[in-house]
Amino acid sequence: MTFFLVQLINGLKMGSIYALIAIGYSFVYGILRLINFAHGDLLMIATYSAWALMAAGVPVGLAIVIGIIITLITSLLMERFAYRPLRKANVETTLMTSLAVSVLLQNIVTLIFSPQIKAFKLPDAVTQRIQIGSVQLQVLDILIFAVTIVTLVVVSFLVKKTKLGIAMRACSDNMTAAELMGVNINHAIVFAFVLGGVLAGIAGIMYSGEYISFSPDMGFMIGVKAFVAAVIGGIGSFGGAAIGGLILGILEMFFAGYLPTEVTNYRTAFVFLVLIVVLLIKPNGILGVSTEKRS
Amino acid sequence: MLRVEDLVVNYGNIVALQGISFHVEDGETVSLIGANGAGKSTTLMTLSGIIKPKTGTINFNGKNIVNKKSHQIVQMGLIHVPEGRQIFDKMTIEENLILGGFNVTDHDALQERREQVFRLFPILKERIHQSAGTLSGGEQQMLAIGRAIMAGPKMLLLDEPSLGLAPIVVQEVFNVIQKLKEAGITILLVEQNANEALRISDRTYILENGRVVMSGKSSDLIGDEQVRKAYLGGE
Repeated sequence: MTFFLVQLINGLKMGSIYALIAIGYSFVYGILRLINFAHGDLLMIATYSAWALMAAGVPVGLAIVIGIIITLITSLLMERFAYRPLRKANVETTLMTSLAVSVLLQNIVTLIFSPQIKAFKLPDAVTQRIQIGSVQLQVLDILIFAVTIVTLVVVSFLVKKTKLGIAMRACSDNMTAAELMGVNINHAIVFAFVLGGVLAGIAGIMYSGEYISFSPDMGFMIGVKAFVAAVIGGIGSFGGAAIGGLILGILEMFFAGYLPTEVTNYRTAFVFLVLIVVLLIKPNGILGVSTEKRS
Repeated sequence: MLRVEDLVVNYGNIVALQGISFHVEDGETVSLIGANGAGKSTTLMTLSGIIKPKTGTINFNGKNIVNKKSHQIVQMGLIHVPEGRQIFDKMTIEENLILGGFNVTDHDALQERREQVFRLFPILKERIHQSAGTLSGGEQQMLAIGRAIMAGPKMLLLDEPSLGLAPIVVQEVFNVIQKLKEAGITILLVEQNANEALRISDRTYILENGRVVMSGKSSDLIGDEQVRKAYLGGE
């Protein structure tokens, strides 16, 4: 039972991180039909920025906040200089561009900080362990859950109730109609990249706090997995991305925890197996809406 | 209110509009009729800034709007109800109406227009929290018009409002247009249903292959032998 609980908690942790990344993927995809493979690399930007600031003596909390802001700015720069000029380009072009942006970001960071694996150390107060029932937790774990819940509530409010949120959803639903309503498309797209950047920044700090070691290529595979989570949940849907992330994290951790070690090395392959199975059963993902329209 | 001169629009190498000119006066209802591909929808899309013309001028309330962005044109009060409704079908009716008044900051005006929309279309009030995709075709057309009213239009561009609707619903849609007309809203109506368009409008322009081939008072055109043959199904 304890082992089950531990794996469940690990799964929820990983799932929370996937969820935050998947939401960013989903927002951007929803509006631009762009699969932004550089989105995962924003985790790396957040980690390196916060780490460098902490190493320079900036207090941890402030370093993390500035790290997230730098991530947000990176996200905006991506939109402005890589994707905006390609608004009218076809999907293949933007997809390749996003891979190029990913390589570019990784290489810039490698040039500045070397390709060496580094350690992301949070203060002892955060990493100390506490006993709850039969389960031992880090304070960090609880922080991850709390921050994820608060973030999801805030983002859900922003998207559902604010004007920019409604504009963003309108653009995903029908871009031309949104334009005809007087929505400034650029504002809606920038809003999607701002939210995506902040969420990826938060996820990056969580991930590196949890797994400690980090390197310039850390973001790519997590990014791809989070994309899988977004597709499983139904890409374009906010709730779908959150649920897809949680489900994927939990399944992955149970797979790693319960199956013999010979197969657990194939953890990543398992993630894609889940994707294949889900797409066979529900091609639009769990919460995905069918694209057929009523006449 | 609207004066279009020598408007030329290309899609790649294809010339969609070969220099059309027309005008709509305050309070007037003007219809553009013609076959598929004559350039009717292209004209409206160009008026609202979705398509940029190659040459020509569009003067709305004394200002040239050719180089304005769509959202700026909406703010000036030129509101487009697009072909095929184009409602936000994943969003609620409430949200669709909010988007209609997206740039309106006067809260009282919005509230008043909401009431006006509900008076015209009581069904929308009943289903306010339903997603718009669940509405029938006719109801979606009502929502598309209601959404446009929320913007406080000085002039409405209606693109094929009767397209794909059952005859009884078509009648309802034209009744609504009649009411909008009586409320003093200037209307530019694009229709394939030439009969209804001629009946409801003050003046009509007939488009063919991106050119105005005939224009005049709708009441004159409806009696014209040539028009009857080409557009009103003979007799």
